Amino acid sequence: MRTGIIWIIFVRRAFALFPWVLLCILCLTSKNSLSGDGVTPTNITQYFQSARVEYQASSDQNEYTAVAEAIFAGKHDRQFMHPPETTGLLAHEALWYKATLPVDMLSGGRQVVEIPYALSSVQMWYMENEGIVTSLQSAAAIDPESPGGKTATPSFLLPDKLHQDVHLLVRVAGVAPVQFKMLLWNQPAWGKHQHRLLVWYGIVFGVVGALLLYNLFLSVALKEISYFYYVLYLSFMMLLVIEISGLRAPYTTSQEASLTYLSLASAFGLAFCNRFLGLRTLSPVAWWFSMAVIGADVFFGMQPYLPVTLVPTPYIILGVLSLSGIAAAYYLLAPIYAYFKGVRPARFLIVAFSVITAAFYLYISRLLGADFPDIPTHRIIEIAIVSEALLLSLALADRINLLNSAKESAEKQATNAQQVFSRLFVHAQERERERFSNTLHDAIGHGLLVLKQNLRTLSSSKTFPDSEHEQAESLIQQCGEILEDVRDLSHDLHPHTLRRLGLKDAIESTMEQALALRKIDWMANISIVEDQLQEEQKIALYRILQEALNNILKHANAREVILTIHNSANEIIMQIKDDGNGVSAGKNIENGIGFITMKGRIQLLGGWMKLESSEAHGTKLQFGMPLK
Amino acid sequence: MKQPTTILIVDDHPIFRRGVCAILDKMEGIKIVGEAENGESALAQLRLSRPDIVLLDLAMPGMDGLSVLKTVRAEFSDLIVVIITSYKDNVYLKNALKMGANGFLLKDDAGENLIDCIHRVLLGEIYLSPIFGKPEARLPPSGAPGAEHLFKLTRSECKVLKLVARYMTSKEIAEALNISHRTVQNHRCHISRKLGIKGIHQLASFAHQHQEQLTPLSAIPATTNSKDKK
Repeated sequence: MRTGIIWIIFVRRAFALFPWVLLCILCLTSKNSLSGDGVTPTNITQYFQSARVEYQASSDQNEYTAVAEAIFAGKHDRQFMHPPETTGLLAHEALWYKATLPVDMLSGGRQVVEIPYALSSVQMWYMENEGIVTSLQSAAAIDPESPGGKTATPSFLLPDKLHQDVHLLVRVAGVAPVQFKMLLWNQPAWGKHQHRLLVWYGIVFGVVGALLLYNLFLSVALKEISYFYYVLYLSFMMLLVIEISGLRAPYTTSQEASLTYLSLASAFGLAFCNRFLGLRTLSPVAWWFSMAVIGADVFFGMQPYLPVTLVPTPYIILGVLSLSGIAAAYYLLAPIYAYFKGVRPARFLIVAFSVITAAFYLYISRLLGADFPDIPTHRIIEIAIVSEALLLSLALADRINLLNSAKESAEKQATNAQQVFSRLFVHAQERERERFSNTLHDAIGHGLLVLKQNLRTLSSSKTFPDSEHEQAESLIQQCGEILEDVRDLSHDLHPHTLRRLGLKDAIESTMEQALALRKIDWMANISIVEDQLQEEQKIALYRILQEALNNILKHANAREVILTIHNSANEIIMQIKDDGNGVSAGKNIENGIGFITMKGRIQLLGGWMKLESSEAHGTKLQFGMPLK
Repeated sequence: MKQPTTILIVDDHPIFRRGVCAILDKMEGIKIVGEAENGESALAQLRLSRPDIVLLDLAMPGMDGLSVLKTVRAEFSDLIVVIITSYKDNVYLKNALKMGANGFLLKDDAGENLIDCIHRVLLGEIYLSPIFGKPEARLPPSGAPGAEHLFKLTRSECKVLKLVARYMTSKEIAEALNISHRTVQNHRCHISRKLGIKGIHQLASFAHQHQEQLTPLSAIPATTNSKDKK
């Protein structure tokens, strides 16, 4: 039973630790995947000029190809310029990039154009000198010899054996303005690079997936909705990562999906935050505010899937982005507020949400053109999501611990209350018995005494007929017997000796009365200072002894009983030893009412009871309780 | 005429006090100077009327008889105190005598024995109700068995007594000394008789008190103690 609990705790701890180990591996592999292995791509960004073109949402790829043909033919009025003039992209605009790659760059095998990071959908066309415009698909960049593979970044395979300069056109429809970067790879080197990235993503998804499964299991097992929100929040975050990486090849669809994921992720993130921190009761104003944000998020996120278009796509982009910004601020402020209001597990949320917010800040800053040369911003979102998943999972585990300890302390309090009640109850019972005992002894006892005396006076008077003398004597004797019974009963109810003479005398008197008549030898060694004992402790020791003596007389067939009471540093120990035939194993005497009473008495005072018994050596009962 | 003996009756039961009064009224030279129904009242009346004898009940509400006895013995050294109680427990008797009571009368036989009791205590004797036996046997022994009696014991008896001092059962002692159970009990009987101690409990507490003296005695080589061989 106990080892079972320890195992559960151990497994839970191990589960909390396991993702951290994976995170370390992750960081190491991420460094590896970024460094490359000697074959480096050529940065071709400087060949590109860009122009802003009004955003036209369309599901038909051919419409964009028509625009591309128009741009190639110079029939488009947009001015193509070098960055960074073009980075100020508005939500209702798309960016077109145009470049002419000299043919000598393209010699030496097939080439791949890669966009290492983006936050949007990317399309590419190329035109040969003959004026033929070809649309390139990201998925087609995969090595034809390994079909079914995936690209980890948007990558476009250029045609083989080019003899002339190549004109490229790229359309980026972003949910955010982007800092554009293009790399030109040799196909084999690119292939290796992609494999490393796929391994990286495998690890990221493996870790997050394991955490999602674990917490999903917990949400079902514990019937706690916050785990479920966590699972949904991180699932949408992962889907978002898939969208903004190149994993969702051919990578030509619109950004609608990523908008939906972003808005739903922020909605479930808020729900998680609220539920976890108990904000509904902590701050109803903040809670209602967040509910409004969640509502708006769901509305914007689901808009593309509704049959009626209520909001044009550019405004959805604007809406989702601003809501995400509000949500990010809420993630940061709510846990800090809750933490200062005494919600201890909020500390994990503060760390987790600041990590993810910082990561998005860095990533978007990079897209916007800020340069952080020393920070590997390529993979920062993925690292941040893994750490967030870990931290939030820890927060949930921490919450279980806190809830458990709260439950334990509540249980302990209940037990304490029960114990206090029981003690009071025992105390009241003793008081009542004392009252009964006194009444029996004084009122009834004395009444009988006087009755007996009067009978005697009557029978010895001269007028009393001699013939009735025998009858009178018998009545007097009966009176005496009843009187003895009443006194015994009174003494059983409450030991008057204990209060008047103290524990030592009371115990010696009881042992003498109980044992000496039955020719059982007894010894009592009571070496305690009675002032150290409280009244209820004395009563408990006395009552336990009474019960033990009863047991000995009834079952043990003993010839000797030895009692010792002494105190150690902070405990009073009473030992009752007899040389009887022991408590036989079959009798299950430990569950008998006598043993339960003794044990209950001692436990009420925070003590313990120990039983040693054998047929050869008799029974040894030990009791201990703390000195107070 | 000789001054009458003055008596104070202390008991919380009016019916009992009335009974006592009825008996004492028949006696010559006895005067009841007061009645008290609890310890506090008893002390106040004792200080006021200074009786010769006090008949003291043990069980009373508030200050009980033994507490009154304790105070009385410190305050009035020549006052005669007779405990009248319904408790037959030896332990009350023992305590009362230790505290200096002159008589211990049970209420059950007070009707027959009160007068006798008063006469005896006035003569300076200690009076006990008949069921307790002779007072001499009950008095705290003046010449308690001391360590000097220990030399009467044989080496084996010393060994046994040493273990008795540790509050071991005779079975345990028998096992420890590798002798029979019966032998241990015989030894214990002999020791009690030699030391003049009644009961195993008394023997054990005596032995417990004299543990140090027992250690060298039980270590005497067997050859010097011929009694062992019997």
